Amino acid sequence: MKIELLYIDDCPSWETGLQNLKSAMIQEGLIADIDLVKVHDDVEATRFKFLGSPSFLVNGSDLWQETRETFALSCRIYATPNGIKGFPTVNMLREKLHSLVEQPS
Amino acid sequence: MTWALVLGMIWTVTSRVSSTQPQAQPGAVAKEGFSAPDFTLDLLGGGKVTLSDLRGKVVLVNFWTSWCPPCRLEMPAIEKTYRSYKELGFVVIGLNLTAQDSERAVAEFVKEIGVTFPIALDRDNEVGNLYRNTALPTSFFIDRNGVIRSVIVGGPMSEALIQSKVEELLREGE
Repeated sequence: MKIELLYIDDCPSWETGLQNLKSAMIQEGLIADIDLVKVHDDVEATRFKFLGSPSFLVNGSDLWQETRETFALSCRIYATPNGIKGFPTVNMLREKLHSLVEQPS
Repeated sequence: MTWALVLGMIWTVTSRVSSTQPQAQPGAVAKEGFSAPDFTLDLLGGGKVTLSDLRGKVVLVNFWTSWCPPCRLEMPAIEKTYRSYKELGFVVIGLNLTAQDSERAVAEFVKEIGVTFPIALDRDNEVGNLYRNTALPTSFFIDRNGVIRSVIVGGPMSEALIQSKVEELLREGE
């Protein structure tokens, strides 16, 4: 399983997102490296189909996919049970990871 | 059986009672080609803004927060365009996702940049939800008829890009 976290330096939430991802992986018993991918500009944003920082990809697919035609640097926001945040909660990540583990491609 | 039918009818009628909260209006979807969903929000410094009151003008609704670097970077270009075109019927609503910000930080940033267009405070993310906003900044260019003509997700938008979109929409009303 290839796990990537796409981020831009300036959006402040990606580090919390990374910690939550690590916690979710531990709780789901997943052992895998997390590749941190820094997105520098709109060209890279387009190449990576970057939906905002932080974005979580498993085997190349965003865990919260969206239909978007253009891509640019942005800070992503997530609808959590506690309102909008700049990162998903541990439980939100666990649910996504759990469903992927249950239905391996 | 009859009672169940009556209760069902009562539930159907009462569930349609409108509230004062922004909500999806019939036919209002926050996508290009659709009428912009209406909203009313408090403004920084006092007063309120209602999107539908701006019908007849070209409107840029720019979702932002003070901690979002691309948002901060594009704000001077938005301000400059606003100053250049406001007399021709261009309006900007700087829609701050205050649920993820602080009004103090918003006020400080607005003062620092010298923003003169209205800053709306989305304290409960009601409008963010209405517009299905998932990234910052996000900009909605709305024509004089209240139709969303262009959506830009991410940034920073260049001054040239903002101007070209505004000029195109302003020309349509001539």
